[in-house]
Amino acid sequence: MSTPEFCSSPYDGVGIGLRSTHYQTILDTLPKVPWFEALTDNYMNEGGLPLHHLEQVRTHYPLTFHGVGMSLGSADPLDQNYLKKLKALIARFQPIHISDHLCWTSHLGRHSNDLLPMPYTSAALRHVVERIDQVQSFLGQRILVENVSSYLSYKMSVMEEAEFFAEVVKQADCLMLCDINNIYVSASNHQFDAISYLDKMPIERIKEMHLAGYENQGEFLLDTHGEAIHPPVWDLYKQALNRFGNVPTLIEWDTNIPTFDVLLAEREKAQNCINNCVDEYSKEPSNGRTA
Amino acid sequence: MDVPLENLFEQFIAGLYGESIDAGALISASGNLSPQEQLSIYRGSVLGNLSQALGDIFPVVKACVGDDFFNAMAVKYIAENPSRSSSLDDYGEQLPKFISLFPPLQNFPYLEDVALLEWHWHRTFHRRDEVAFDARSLGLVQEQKMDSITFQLPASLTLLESNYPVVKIWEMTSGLVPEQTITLAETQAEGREDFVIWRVDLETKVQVLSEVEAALLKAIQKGDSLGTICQHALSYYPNEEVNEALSAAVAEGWIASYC
Repeated sequence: MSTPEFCSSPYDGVGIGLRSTHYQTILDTLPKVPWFEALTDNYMNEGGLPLHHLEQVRTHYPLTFHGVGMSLGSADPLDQNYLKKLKALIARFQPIHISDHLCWTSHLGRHSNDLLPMPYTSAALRHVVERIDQVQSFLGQRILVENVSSYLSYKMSVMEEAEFFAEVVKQADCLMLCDINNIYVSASNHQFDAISYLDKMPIERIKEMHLAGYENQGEFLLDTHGEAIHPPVWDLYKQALNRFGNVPTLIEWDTNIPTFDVLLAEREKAQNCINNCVDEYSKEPSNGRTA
Repeated sequence: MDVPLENLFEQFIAGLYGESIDAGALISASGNLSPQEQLSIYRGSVLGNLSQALGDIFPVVKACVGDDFFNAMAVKYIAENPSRSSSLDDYGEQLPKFISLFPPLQNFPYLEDVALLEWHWHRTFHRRDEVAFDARSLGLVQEQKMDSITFQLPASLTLLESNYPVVKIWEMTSGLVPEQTITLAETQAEGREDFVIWRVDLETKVQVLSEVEAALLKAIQKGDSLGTICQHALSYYPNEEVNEALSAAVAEGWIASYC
């Protein structure tokens, strides 16, 4: 089998999460999207149609890899088989970067297949940092770690989430994926200030942001990625852009997935936010950071 | 209070799978929600994700029993069969067996086999890609050695059998063929059927086998040589049927290689 020629366009602007329902539309119309994000866990099988489609998409677009199965916070040993499969996928598809979540997903072999929050303690911090270090050593590259939405606070937590997140990323010397929707959802559920959360982020490590739609359950906000991005999340995104500058951003939609044109419209909105922010950002004499 | 991570995770995951835990000892009340209510959000999410995964892998079983029944059954299945993999593609292998033992489904004995078909269809869909067998390569085999060669089935191929016409049920429910009414008595009268699930390039296929085709593929799977297969088959079936079955095996892609 000959090696396909992959797209080498730059990683910039607003990308879209690749979902199987959109493969055909994307490959037929080759929409103007700077990059796509592939959910790595969907491509860890031996072969078949999903991998074939991913290869086709990769010939036209840069890809980022985003996972949910690394279980960086778990007390179980790291899943070496999972990491080996991921490494093989990286070698095959040459993604821009790899990301997963600041969470745990399993214990003693029982999996939740969900992103469960960490307790924010010094012991948990050391534990996650050590595991990120192991993952980065194995993969031979730095990974991006993303904040999750949460619906509970552990009694044993002694730090705020923002402080814990920032410390993990600094001590593990990894990079940061800042999910703006998740910050908003958690801030609303736990009644903390989302702006001050942004202010605690180590700007130089933020390599990507995520935007998605939550669902208002009345008593709490649920991070379903099943609706359009809500106005307060757009507001928070603009605040983030004002602080972080031009950071590549992803539109995620995982449930009640709409037609691709809806995602393109969300992408356009986010791209306009970036364009406006870059104009404003460059006018500030103190902002020497390049995008 | 500093609970070791292992203890926290052990209790939390038990709570997610429906075991009784003291949520108040682990979780602070937050906003309008009690510790138990906060845990319930995660429990609902885990149940929702795993039920969704089962529904995605077993859409025909789901259509046969209806959404409400399927989701209620999924809750019981999940409690007894926690997910053991980070990949939702690995979840549901025990569902056919569970269905066969599930008391409310005792009058639907064919559903276990429908579920088995769906599970293997799902696994075949994700199997590694294989290069198609080139029948011309058989021309390289010396004639006197032809009887001693053995064929290998593709890794993606699964042979199944059922006392019910599950392929017809699966095709009708999937909308691949028009629906028709089949009574349980009629299905039993049709007798046992053998069928095969395999991949041709990226397409996953299901096909009912003739008696001789099934005998042939089972003999190949067992590792019998071509000579033994033909000798055995010809003692039961006419020469023409055996030849047709061999040709079909090559043409359909049921043979991966020989040695």
